[in-house]
Amino acid sequence: MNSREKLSSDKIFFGLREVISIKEIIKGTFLLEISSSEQLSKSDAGQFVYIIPRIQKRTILPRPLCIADADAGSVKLIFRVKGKGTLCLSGLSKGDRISVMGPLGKGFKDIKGPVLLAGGGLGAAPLYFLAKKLQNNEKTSIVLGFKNKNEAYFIDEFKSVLRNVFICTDDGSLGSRGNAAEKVREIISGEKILCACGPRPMLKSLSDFAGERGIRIFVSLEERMGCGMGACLGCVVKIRSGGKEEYQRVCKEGPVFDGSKVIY
Amino acid sequence: MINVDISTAVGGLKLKNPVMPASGTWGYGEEYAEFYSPAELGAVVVKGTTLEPRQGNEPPRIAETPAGMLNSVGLQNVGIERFISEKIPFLRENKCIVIANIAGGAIDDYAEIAKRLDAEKDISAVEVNISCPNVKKGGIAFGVRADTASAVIKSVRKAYKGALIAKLSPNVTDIVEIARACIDSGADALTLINTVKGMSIDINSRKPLLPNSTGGLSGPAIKPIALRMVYEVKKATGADIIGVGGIECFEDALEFIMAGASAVQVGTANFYNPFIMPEIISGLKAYLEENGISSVKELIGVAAR
Repeated sequence: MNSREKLSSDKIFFGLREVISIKEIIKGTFLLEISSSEQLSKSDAGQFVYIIPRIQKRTILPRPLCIADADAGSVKLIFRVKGKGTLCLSGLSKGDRISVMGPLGKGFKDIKGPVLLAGGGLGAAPLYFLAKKLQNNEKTSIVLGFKNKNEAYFIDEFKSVLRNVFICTDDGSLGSRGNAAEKVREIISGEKILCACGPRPMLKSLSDFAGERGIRIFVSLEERMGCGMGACLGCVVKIRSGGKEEYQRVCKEGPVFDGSKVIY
Repeated sequence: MINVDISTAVGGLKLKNPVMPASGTWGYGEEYAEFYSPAELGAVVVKGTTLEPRQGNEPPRIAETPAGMLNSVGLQNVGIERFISEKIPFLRENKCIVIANIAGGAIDDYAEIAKRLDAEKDISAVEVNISCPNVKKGGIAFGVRADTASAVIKSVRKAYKGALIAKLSPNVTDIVEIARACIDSGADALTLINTVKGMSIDINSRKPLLPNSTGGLSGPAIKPIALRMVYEVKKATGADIIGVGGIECFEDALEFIMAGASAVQVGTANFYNPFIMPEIISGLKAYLEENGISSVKELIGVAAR
């Protein structure tokens, strides 16, 4: 056992994990599967994991990656190559050991009743984890929006856990033409909760729609992060709270927020 | 094996070990309590506190740079009232030595906060931030000139009886001049250094990455600058110093101690290793044992003599 493993807390694992597999699922986007831990196996959908690449000690900050699945055997993480850190992660191989911290943040909690999920692009990944957790609820549907068919992923996986999977692409190359926010307006049928993850404009559009319809909406946000523990105040977003606007931490109060309170 | 002593003292403040977090990188001590008790540390330096609550700067607030990071948080904090009522109880219950970091837009603000903290027996020292590069008024403006630095320290000295530590900016021509001005005005010790003003540009938007344009550089990238300043100030003034800037292992901490620091602060490294401070504490102890040195105090400033 790695000596650092003992340093984890009951809720948060910190230490080395082994890469089980890494696969480029669509161009520039990778599915990284790592070994699990007791803490990681209890992750909520919408929480994230910190992976700490240190390329010749030049990159220092951890990278927050969304959890696409987690159980006692492994944790599946999805990331897109954006800069030095994620480029380094894309070069990992089976058997490599990487520094991991998590699960972190507040995910989708206590989601009950008929639920509509909406994922845009990379934002579909954490919703797969949520869909799996909600799969026994037959009234769960999902709308997946991608740029085009080459950017679509996890379609079969979603179909294996949910009966109603609606797909749309910006150019109509897969499913119907249009974006996820439009599709939600078209197919919604009495759901009282909307859970969304994707680009900010999509989340804003859906939050406006949820407001008009009087339904609850939870959105998962991202921001450049420092500590991941709520200490450095680096990753804030503006939130309406008690009649005021204040900056709240994506890593602590989020990443999942009440969409009606987010100032987009 | 000999019994080693890692306790130290800075500005009259006794510490069981020389390791503490840098202000703003460890919140109010609650955030990392998940991992270990904050009482394991020599002291807990809390997030900079202003008189009124502050919202801080617009995001993004962070940009990674080679072996470092820029931040532009802009002193987001709950204000002195809520600091006292909501944050001190946790630190008291955990029996921490608490160093309150204070900041203000005007000299009177510093004096007012210091006066409030003088009445709080759970606060062991104040660290006066005259070096924040990310706020429009006050902060660094006070710390880059000897006369204004002196004026702030004098006003805090009048209002506060406990240990007074001045946290200095590296963004100056002559750090020794500012250090002397603070000591002469009543500071018991100095924290060296705050972040180095820097910039990052987004080549896609063709604009500075941080909405505030500039930010404060921290992390291993600034360690040689910090070390040099600790050394210069120790040599010239002999003042008690808390060294900070890019420390990420016990060897780094030792370099600062040998340059003249009586204690060290760890900032950015907490973000990539939440256990870094306890690791440094045990590393220091092991170093003393292996080298047959009975007290860490024997090493303070050995390289600056």
